[in-house]
Amino acid sequence: MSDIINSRKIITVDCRELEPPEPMIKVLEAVHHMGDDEAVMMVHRKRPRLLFPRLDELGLKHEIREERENRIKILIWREN
Amino acid sequence: MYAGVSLDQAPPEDIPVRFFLSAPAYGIIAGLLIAIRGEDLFLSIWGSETIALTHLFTLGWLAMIMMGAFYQMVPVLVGGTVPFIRASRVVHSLFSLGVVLIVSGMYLAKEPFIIAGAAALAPSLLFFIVQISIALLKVKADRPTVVAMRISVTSFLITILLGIYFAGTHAFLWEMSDNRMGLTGTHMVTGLFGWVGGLIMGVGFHVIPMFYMTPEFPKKKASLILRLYGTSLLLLPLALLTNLGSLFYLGAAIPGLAALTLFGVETFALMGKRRRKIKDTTLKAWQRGLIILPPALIALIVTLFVDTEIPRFLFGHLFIVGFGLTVTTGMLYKILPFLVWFHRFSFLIGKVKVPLMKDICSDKKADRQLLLFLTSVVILFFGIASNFDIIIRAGGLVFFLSSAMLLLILVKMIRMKAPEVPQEKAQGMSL
Repeated sequence: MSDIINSRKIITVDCRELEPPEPMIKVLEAVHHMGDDEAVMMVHRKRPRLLFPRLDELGLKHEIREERENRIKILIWREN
Repeated sequence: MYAGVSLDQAPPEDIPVRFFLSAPAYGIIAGLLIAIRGEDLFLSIWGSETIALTHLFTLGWLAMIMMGAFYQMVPVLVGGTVPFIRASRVVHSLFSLGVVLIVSGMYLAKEPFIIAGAAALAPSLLFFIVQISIALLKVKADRPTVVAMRISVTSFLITILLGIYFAGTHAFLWEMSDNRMGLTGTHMVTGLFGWVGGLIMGVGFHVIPMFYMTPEFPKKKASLILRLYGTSLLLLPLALLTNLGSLFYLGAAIPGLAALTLFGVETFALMGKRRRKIKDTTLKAWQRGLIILPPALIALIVTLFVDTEIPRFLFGHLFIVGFGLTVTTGMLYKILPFLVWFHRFSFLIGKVKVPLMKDICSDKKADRQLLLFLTSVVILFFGIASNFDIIIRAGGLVFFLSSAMLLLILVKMIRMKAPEVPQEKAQGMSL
């Protein structure tokens, strides 16, 4: 995760105050506009299980870090 | 990398949808039955027509929605994989056929129908149990939701096995036990409290914080609730099967009653702390259902000491219809719009304007339907309590109308089509 964070511009999408499916909407919109030199960092309260298959469909990579209960970070990027 | 849900593991849209759409259809039949037969259906809980009506609600509505919910929620809420998911379509078909046959058999007192119904229900339900058990056993039981789901499914299995036993007596495969009351009581406890109550609590632990931005359901309280609940689920059937008497039944039930009370109080408290202040239909349904729960439990306690039919019917009505149907109706208004949105619109984000959830299901219409349904609950309550035929029939009619309205709302949702994507955007679809 740190390699990507250090080498790309990070667009943070904080979804902790959003109810389903707004987190998915916000993140999918963000990744749609994401450049090759950028990555999206999603901050959420729970694992957005239905998002991951969508990201796989779009050919995007993702990595999860569970910082503590109710704070999960998901880094999403496009492999060059 | 995350080893989570793949689109192959999450159920195809039509699987939970067919279960959800079926439930109000059985509600329509139940409402018509009550409107036509009135007080005749509320003379004795042992009457075959009354048992038929009960199973319209418990199998046709509650089990139908809960099975659809399990198929949808096990991958999404707890990350389990439901095996043989495509066979769930056959489960639904057999289950639906089984409900129609067995309810008809009970209503008409025709044993061949009961036997045929059981022959359809047994394999469909047992297969469902196998599917969900495999999925739940593969996830760690480190969350209250998983534990509650396991309690629910285990209770459903016992309920089903007892149902098969009762059906077998109709087929003259074996004789009815002398302990019919104990077995029937156990069937009721495992079915209503274990299966229905267990799943409602398990789902509530997770979805209330998720949907309404409340603090998490305290894990220690959830664990305490489940330990108390599980204690009663073990003790109460034992007490019933050994015929220990009302005081022992009450003693065995107390931990479970405390658990339900604690769940209701804590859930209400969490709802009060929600960061999203708007009250949607689902929240209203949860709140109304939880408000009806205490009178249902009081009616249950009364039945232990008062040997008349009215408290038994009031308990059945308040717990099954007032609590169970209210909460499951509310959940339909959350799950189905999300299913439609996810399967038809989510992949279009960024390409075309995508509807929001409120565009898929209007809260105004849902609110009206919920109000109509709750009106029927109240009318039926007074009808049953007063044993006044015309009020019971009126309640049945309103229930019929609310079920029909629900079905229309759900059908309208699933008929929404995804918009056309303009050519140039379609070419850029895969990023």
